[in-house]
Amino acid sequence: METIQGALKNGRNVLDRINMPQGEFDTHVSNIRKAMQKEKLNLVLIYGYAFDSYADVAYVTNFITRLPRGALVALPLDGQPMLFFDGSTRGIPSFRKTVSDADVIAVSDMVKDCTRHLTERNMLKGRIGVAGLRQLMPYGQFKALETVLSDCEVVETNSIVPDCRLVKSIREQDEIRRAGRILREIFDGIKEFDFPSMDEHSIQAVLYKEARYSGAEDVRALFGRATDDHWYLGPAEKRTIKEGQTFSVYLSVEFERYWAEAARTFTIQDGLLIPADQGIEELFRRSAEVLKAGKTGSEAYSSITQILKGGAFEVLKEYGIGYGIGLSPEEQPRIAEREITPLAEGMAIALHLVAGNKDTGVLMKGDTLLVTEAIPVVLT
Amino acid sequence: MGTTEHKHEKIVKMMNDKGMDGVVIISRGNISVLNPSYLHYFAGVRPFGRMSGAVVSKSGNAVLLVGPSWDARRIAGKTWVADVRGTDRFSVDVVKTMKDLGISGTVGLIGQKEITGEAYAAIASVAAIQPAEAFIEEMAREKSPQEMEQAKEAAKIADIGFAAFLEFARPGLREYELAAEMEYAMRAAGADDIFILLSSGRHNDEMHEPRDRRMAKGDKVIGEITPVVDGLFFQLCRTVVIGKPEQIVLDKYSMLMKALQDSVAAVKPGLPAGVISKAMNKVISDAGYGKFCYPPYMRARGHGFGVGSIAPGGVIDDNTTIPLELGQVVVIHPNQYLPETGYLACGETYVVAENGAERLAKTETKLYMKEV
Repeated sequence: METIQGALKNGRNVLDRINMPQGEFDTHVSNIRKAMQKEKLNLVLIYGYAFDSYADVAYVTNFITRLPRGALVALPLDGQPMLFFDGSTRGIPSFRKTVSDADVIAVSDMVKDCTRHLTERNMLKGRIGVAGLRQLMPYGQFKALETVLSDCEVVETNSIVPDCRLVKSIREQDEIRRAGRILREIFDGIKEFDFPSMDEHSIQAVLYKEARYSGAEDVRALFGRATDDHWYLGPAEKRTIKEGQTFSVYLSVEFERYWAEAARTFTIQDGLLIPADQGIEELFRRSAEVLKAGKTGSEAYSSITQILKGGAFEVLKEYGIGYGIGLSPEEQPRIAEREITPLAEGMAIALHLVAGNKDTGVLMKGDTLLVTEAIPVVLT
Repeated sequence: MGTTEHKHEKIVKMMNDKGMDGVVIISRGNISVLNPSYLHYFAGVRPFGRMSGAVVSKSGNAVLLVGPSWDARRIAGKTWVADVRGTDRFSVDVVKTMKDLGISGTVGLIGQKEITGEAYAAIASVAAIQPAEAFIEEMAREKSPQEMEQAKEAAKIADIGFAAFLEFARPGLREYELAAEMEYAMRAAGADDIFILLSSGRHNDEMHEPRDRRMAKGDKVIGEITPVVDGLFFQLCRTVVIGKPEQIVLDKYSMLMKALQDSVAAVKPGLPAGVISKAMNKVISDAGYGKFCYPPYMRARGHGFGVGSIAPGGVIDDNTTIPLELGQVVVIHPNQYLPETGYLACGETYVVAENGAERLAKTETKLYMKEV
């Protein structure tokens, strides 16, 4: 889910070369190069920005920005990828520990420095693909790069990396599984947690600490109050949660670059957080079973909408139903109308329901699922 | 933050004075310790989507486009802007909104540094763009009573964060785990967000984000402890030595404290903010470390905090001519790389007052040691 971004990614930042050996990144690069060959591209420039839009850059290099800045990968058809990041050369030795095999270059002026390096290596020639530049790069840099490339044959290839990322490799699935395990352990153990006080900031503080100690690099929490007249999902506020009150917690974590998310609803009883089922679990289970390989996103959306129709719960449609998840907290394919991408074995989908009635108030349930030929595997 | 009537009226007057048909204020959902949050300031609430924006016409009609679209529910209950619309296609919806509000001719754009190429092109397809950050910077320069309360609250939370730093720093703990304890303490105390730089080692070459290094006896652990309260950052810079510090570390830290003292004494409303840096660099240069006062070793000797304005700026150095003004919230930090000790961190946040700089946090400024 696209949610609140922090000021800094200050969790565990590693490249675990057992979990993700160089061979995995070589395969990622090879996948992109196959697509480049089909499109007759000599070079692809791939841009990533801030904390939610780094997926394509990380797919090639494992690099993410831990401040809200940009990074650019230049991937030629042959040779090492080049990674340009906004920062100082002092940062390079530590970045190398968390980056796959790539030429790592610090830049102070993204376009000027990147152009100089690419020109020196005679790489700005032929057909050049650009991915994410118009959508993510700050305008001033984008305009400058457009000028530099004005003599080249430039093609927008925004889907070249996302298409490669749709189906997760076994190792990628395992990373999402590890992220999912953090969430499962938090939600399973939540009634034993010692909250300093029963308010949203305190609850969030405990959840974040649990996630950080488990290795989460990024954590996001949102809260919703079941019986609020004007229900919304939002970041922690200065609100106490009273005995007997029901509320939902949405939690997502990023572990070694990969995201998982889940949502649960609880009631406070005797100072403890007790899961509040009230029928939404069964609806969720039936909806999840729809997500089988072969169905398109829109077919899955239609089927789930039918399951939810006419039942005891009214769905808050604006929260949607689901989307892909992986290197990005929200990515293709969408479980939505007009989504023609078929689900395939190995895709990771975040599914959630936000629904309620006048007796229960609004409830939320969500999980991250791995699509199979049969019913999906729940990773959270 | 300033009253809603104040902001709304002011921006309408400013755009009319400049002959603009409208203003667009954008946000990409990020929050940065070195940049203001113009849309948060203007709308009174922070949308967190990858692209949101306020569109205001010269006749005063205002629309807030909120991404992701489902967040419009939350924002609508918190902003003074009456017309809140969810968007998952900002570039399409901003064009429609500008046309709905009759904006053509010239439009002021606030957020020029971060807007994407796609969004810029969309806005430019409707009206000629002129930068207008000055509108928000001007109205946000004077901190409101509410912002001052936020700063005081953030100061208390920073003290709590430092207490956690001192309590939990120990051999064997990883940097990111110590950051997790500090984050826990500050979030439980009411921080909406935190920004923690934390480096450990016998000789730190830089101040960086927490890594997975395990701290050890003899380490100097340097940290920037920065809670955020409703968009306002507040910072303490501290050094904790695990074990007994060497005499040279004590001596050099005393020098940094003198540098801090002198730079704080130089603060007077109306003077250019560069006086802070000059006073600090004089002490450090007189001690023989002149070359280490400038890039590539050092960059900023402090910076401003605020939601709509971070005046006197994201970087205070010798060349900063922007004047110090009453009510500015400024961190003054003689964080310094020294060849004998590595990087040491020392810094406090102040409010610029009539009689100089008023300190907000309570933790004593000194070199701390953690017995093991």
